[in-house]
Amino acid sequence: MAALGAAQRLRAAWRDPNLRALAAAFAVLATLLVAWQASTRWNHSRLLAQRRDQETVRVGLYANALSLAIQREVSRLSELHAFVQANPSDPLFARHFNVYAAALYDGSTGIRSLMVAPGGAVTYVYPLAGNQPVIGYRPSDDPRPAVQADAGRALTSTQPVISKPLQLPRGAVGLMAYQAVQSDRGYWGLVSMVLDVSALYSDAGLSAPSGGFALRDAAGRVFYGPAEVYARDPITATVQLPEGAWELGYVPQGGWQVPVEEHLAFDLAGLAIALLLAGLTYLVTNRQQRLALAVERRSAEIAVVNARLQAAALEERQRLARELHDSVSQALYGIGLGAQTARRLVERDPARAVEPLDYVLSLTKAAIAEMRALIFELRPDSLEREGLAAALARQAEAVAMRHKLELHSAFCAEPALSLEAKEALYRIAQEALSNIARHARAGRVELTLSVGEGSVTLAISDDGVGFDTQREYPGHLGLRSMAERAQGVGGRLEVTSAPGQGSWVLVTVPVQML
Amino acid sequence: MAIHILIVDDHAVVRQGLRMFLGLDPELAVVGEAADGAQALDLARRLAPDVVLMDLLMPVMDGIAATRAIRAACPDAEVIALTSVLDDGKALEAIRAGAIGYLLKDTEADALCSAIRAAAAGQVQLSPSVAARLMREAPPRPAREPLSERENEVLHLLAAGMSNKEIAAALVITEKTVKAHVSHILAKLGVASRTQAALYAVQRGLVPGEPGEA
Repeated sequence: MAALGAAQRLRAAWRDPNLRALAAAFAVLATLLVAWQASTRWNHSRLLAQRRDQETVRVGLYANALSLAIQREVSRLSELHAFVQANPSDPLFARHFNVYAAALYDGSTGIRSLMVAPGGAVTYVYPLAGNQPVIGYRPSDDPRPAVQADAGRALTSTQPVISKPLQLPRGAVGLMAYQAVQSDRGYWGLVSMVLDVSALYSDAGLSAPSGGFALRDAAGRVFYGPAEVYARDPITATVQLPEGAWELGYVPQGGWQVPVEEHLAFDLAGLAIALLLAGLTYLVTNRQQRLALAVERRSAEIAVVNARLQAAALEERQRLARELHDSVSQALYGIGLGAQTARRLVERDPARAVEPLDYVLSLTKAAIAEMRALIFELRPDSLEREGLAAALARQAEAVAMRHKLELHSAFCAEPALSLEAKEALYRIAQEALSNIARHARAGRVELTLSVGEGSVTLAISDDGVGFDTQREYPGHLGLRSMAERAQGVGGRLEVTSAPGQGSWVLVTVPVQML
Repeated sequence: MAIHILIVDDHAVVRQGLRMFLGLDPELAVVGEAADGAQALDLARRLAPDVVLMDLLMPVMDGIAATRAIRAACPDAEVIALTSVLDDGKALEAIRAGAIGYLLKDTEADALCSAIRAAAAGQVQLSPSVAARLMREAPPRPAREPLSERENEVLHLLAAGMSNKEIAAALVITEKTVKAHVSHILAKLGVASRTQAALYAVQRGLVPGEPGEA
């Protein structure tokens, strides 16, 4: 039972338009949020791809710049090579070397030292300061196999030979470049240089703070920048060297993420649209549900009113049937009895036939009055056409004749009342007269219609048995419906009676202000 | 001795007409007029009429209730229901309440007089259609107490449509004794009128055929 009650309560609550609208709004919001999330994800990946494209171009430019810078520096070795080739046996070689090397050295950003090694042993070095230990060094005798290999390759090549990246003192990355010098008598010696690549990075723009740059050689050895760059989906570009190539890797600081400001507007716009649509759904659904509910309620009201009207129509027909029974059919029966009586007396005692014939005539007159009253009732515009006073007179006359009542009536001129008010007064008079006829056992009835100051008064009284106005009479709604009719047109009903005292019904209705 | 009649009708003109018409017959005497059921019961008690002409649709106490009350208070007063088109359906109810018969208000005036005479003589008069309708109703409960042989004979003749006088002649007893038997029969069968006693007899197969109209 409790569950049933709860279910009913739930069903009742579900009829609340607010609740329904909220549910609809939430459904729309949930759907739109899913769509929103998908679209922001798509937008992020699109922005990311865009960014990668931009960065790929930039990283290519950096790689190119670095490649050019290294080639530029290495080309100075070729100049030194040409210089030595031209002056292999210059007696003032040392002096001239110093001047020439100084020019090369000063115009460069990356050269650490320039060396000339006749016969393979370093004899001249510029600048000398700090490089004295190099004098006498033979690269071909270097304990490091890579250096030996580089030196060996230089002997068989006319082109400069570039070493693998080297670790220079003070944390710099360096390159060794060698080129063999051939004289008329064959191999003369080597020219070589130490290149500080680190010094070239800034030339190429790699040291910019935005950079997550790294460099690795052909063997995959990372010699510049953080090694993890290559593990984080980097953009790569090839740095061409005079001999071989490096790979420049780039990952933005903080990884591949789109800056918040780039997608925030899109995300917020999507969210705002979702919320807006949910809000609209709420408003529209709420309104629609309210309308539906209102229509439903109104329909129910109309059904009730219709049922009431039908009941009223049925009641009216029953009343008319009863009226017919009470009036015309009884009169006709009486006429039949009277005529039969007269018929017998005409043969037996013609003088006595006058009484039943008078009775027949009076009944005929009464029946005609009844019929007119009934026909009046049946025609809806009668009251409007004939007026209240005439209608009241007709009704009172019919009832008085039917029940052999002594009627005293007085009517003022047709009062200025609305048709509704006249109708109410007429019905009240009808009900009061009917009550008198049925219950009062009265001999005399008085009916007056009079106009006072701002109001019209209808009074109906009798000299019958009276009744207790405080008592309820089950099944008799007459008094109450009379009062309701009076109130319905802004009037007032007073009933005065007591057992044995007759009764007095007074209705006062305000005159219509035109 | 004239048959004493009480007229009960809420329409003054009908009472007046009936009084006038019945006044033609020297054997009929209208002893009172009542405008409603309550008045009718009061007058029946005081005037002890032989026959009550009872309108059914009336204020205060309607004809059905008045019939029941009068049959209980004055068993010797036979009630004839007077009905018009509007209360046609109430005829059966009136029979059940104890009316010996019913007449439509359009009935020929002569039929009214003969119906009053028959009722006063204790003769059951029902039109075949009403009898058939009553027969279709649930069979009556068995008698509260078995009828004596003589009572069975009286019931038999009563159901055959005989008046008290005819029954008295047939059984060679006095009319007063017949009346006594009839009231015992009504009490034992638990019914309110001769008409119902006759119906009981027909439905229980005590007499062949239907109660006749005259």
